[in-house]
Amino acid sequence: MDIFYTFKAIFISGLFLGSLYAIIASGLSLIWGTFRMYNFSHGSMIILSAYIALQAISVGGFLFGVITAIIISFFLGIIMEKIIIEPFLDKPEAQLIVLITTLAAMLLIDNSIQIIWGARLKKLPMLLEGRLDFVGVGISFQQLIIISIVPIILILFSIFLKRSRIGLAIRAVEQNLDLSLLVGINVRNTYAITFGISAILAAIAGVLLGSNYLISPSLGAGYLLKAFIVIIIGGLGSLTGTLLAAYMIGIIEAAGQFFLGLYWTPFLLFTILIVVLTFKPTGFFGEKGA
Amino acid sequence: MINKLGQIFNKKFRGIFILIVILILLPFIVRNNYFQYILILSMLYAVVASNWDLTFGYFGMFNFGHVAIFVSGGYVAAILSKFYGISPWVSIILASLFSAILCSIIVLPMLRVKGIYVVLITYGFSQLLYQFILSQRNLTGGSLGIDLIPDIYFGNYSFAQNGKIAYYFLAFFLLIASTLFLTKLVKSKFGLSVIALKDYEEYAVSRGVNFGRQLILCFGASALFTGAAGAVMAFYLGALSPSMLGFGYLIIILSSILVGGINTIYGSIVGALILVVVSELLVNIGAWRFIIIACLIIFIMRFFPKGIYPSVSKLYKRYM
Repeated sequence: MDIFYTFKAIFISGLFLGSLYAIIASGLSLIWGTFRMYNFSHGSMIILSAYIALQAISVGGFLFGVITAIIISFFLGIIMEKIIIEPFLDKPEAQLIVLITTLAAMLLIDNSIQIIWGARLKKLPMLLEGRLDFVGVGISFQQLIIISIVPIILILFSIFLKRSRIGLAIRAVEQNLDLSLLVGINVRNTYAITFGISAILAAIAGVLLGSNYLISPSLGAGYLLKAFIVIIIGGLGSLTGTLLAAYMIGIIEAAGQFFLGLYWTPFLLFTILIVVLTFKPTGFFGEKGA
Repeated sequence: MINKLGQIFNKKFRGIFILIVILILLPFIVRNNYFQYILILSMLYAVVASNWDLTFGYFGMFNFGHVAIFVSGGYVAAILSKFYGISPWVSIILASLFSAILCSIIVLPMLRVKGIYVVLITYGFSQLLYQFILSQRNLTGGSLGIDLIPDIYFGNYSFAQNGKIAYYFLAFFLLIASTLFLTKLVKSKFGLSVIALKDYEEYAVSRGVNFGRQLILCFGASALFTGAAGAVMAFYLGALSPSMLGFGYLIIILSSILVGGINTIYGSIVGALILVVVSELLVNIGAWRFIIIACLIIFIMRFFPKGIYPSVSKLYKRYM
């Protein structure tokens, strides 16, 4: 096996992992940017939307399933924000309380999934069957679609944040809460919608994950942890940083799995994380004091 | 002398004294193994939760690695006594020291970072420990866990005799010792400096409190009894499993701090008693158990943000 082939294969599988991490972490990063809070239930939301999509696909086909999952997740996100975040925002230790309530929400979602759909492994239908030869490396259409669709979704998402009224409101609240209140932005609703949008990103991530891997109710925590590493290395609250870090982590993980094996890759990732935190606590693209 | 005894039985300590007497007599009155199991478990969890309160509440660090310290204490004691034939008593002490040293090492990156980052480092540490336990199969038993951990002997008396009643008193002793240690520590000069660091770090540092030193000492101190509790748990159950590092355990113990009341050593003990009993009562309904616990946590956070201990102590003051 020649060495270029190895590197190409690692690069492509890293790109694929990176795309998944990018879509998983972007929702988390949005919440961090707007609320300055960490949402522990994001991983579980991803898995929940995968299950919702699975259920809806069995009723009305693939496209119907995906759209249903996105819509349901959006409203679930808003309901969750109203119940577990909004009542606590004015409290002095809001950050800590929200950490705990989202942790509780995670517990709630994981176990509800187990009750509704059972603990057995499930899988969504593939986006597209078949493989092709790409720069000398075999790659499935499935992976190719995910690699190309994720940047498009995220670019659309950032255009939405920059151009639309809701997006502008979200960014205004993120940058200066008091002035946003002064110019008449409904901050409470903006928070709820932000959470809903983050749930939409979770739903897309859930569909992409579920069409590629087997899903089970307890998977959320693992993906959450990866997303956590990604947003910390990228810099909390910076969307560009999150994306670059996602691809970086994807490629490092693919290389780690090839050279070190499955057991030691988490060690590698955490070592990198601790080194980054020690020498550059704001991440590579994070704002000062974030 | 009599004056001093009078002081001990004054209003403040009367309740605690009555509670201690009840707890000593309880296993002789209710001779039910399952009941005893719940009590032992809740006392051990109370030790873990109240020590966690030291770093989580008093120091204000979002420490998510405390359960990992607890589990590592258990594994160290189990491995030492099973594979190296070291006496359980010595292994409990060694496990406690090992946990303290380990905890002081994990805390090092926290000299640089704060807040949400601490969650990641400490939770990441517990995931690393999980991976480590899985990969060192011949020592830790991998995902199957470690079992056949030897029993504790006191002279010729095996702790497994008489329905494991001796473990009840060992756990009880640990809880009393840990609570005395914590209440003394919190009121000492060291404890005050830790609280000062949480309340206003810049001012405390400018008045000569060494942040790094207090941080390492505080985490080390909180690990001492936690590691010992893990070791006692290992000997009591006779088996350990890496699934203890999952979110379920973490949430139950963490929520016992919050349900009981943060920044009150006694609150987390009360919380641990309540949560262990609730979660054991619900053990037969499968996944619903965690759903109910999650709703309980959200409910308490919503309506008793300071935990239930302040309300309990108000009631206590009114009726005792």
